Amino acid sequence: MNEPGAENQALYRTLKDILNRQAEVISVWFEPDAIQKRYLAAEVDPQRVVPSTGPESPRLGVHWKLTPPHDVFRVDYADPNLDFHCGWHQDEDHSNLGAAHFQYQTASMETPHHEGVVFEAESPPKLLWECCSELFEEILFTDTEEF
Amino acid sequence: MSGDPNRDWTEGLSAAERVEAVALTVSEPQTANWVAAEAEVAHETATKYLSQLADDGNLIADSQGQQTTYEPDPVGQYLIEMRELYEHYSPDELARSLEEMNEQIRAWKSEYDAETSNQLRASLASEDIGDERERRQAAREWDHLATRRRLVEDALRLYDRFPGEPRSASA
Repeated sequence: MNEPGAENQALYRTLKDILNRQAEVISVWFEPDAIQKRYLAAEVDPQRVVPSTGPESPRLGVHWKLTPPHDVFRVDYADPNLDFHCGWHQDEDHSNLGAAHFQYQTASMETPHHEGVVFEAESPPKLLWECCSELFEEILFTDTEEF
Repeated sequence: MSGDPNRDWTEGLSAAERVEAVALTVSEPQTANWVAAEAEVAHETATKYLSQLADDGNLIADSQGQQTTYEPDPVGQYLIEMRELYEHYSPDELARSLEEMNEQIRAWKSEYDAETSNQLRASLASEDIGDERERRQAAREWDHLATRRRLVEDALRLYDRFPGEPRSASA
């Protein structure tokens, strides 16, 4: 049996594949390189998101560490055109909001807004898929117009 | 956006892909039932693909309890990763990255006055630290880099063992 918290070499390989399957994503790579694989980064096509943005490409960043029973992860989206940032974080921060929280910040906000979030998914690939769906289908589509 | 054909988890990935993605990333052994629910496939479908993944050396199946559980085979995954490093990078590229990782770990040792990531974690119990978040993150990254460092060292040993068969395009 694997030791609790042991590094799983398939984790980032699987998550890279999940990001690559998002229609809005142009390319996915490891930072600082694929030898160290410290985290995943993805370039988003500014014309494929709704509403479209540009001319600079938004970025997605994914950090993930398997730590049963709750993984530690951060899924962050940043659009330099709008100075908009949002992300789903499951870490030790804001534990008053529960295991995970969603946060966002627009150009007019001095500090980020945080709110608790509960995921339907439990496994990393499905969780990441859920975050991407919410980002591209709901957060950008609806909320940015209301911020 | 609702018309996007790849938006749903069950439409973006095939049943086999969902089972594999879920099974390869569990952090604790899980039953076929659990994988089936998470992958949104029938129990029989999950069992079929899980058995294949176990036969191929990607998963370990444990039938000692009342139910068979599955988890990633750490040796199988380690070998896949080592081979990828060996095939895609030259010895110079691997050595350069290895040195970067060593430098980073040396920097953590010096900054936090800790010899291991667990010593760094132990320092979290101290009351007079104001950088708890940074220390937790550094300990996690330290574990990760320690594993990557071993992988790179093993990939470099493959070059020593098979010196006449360079696999990297840039070697």
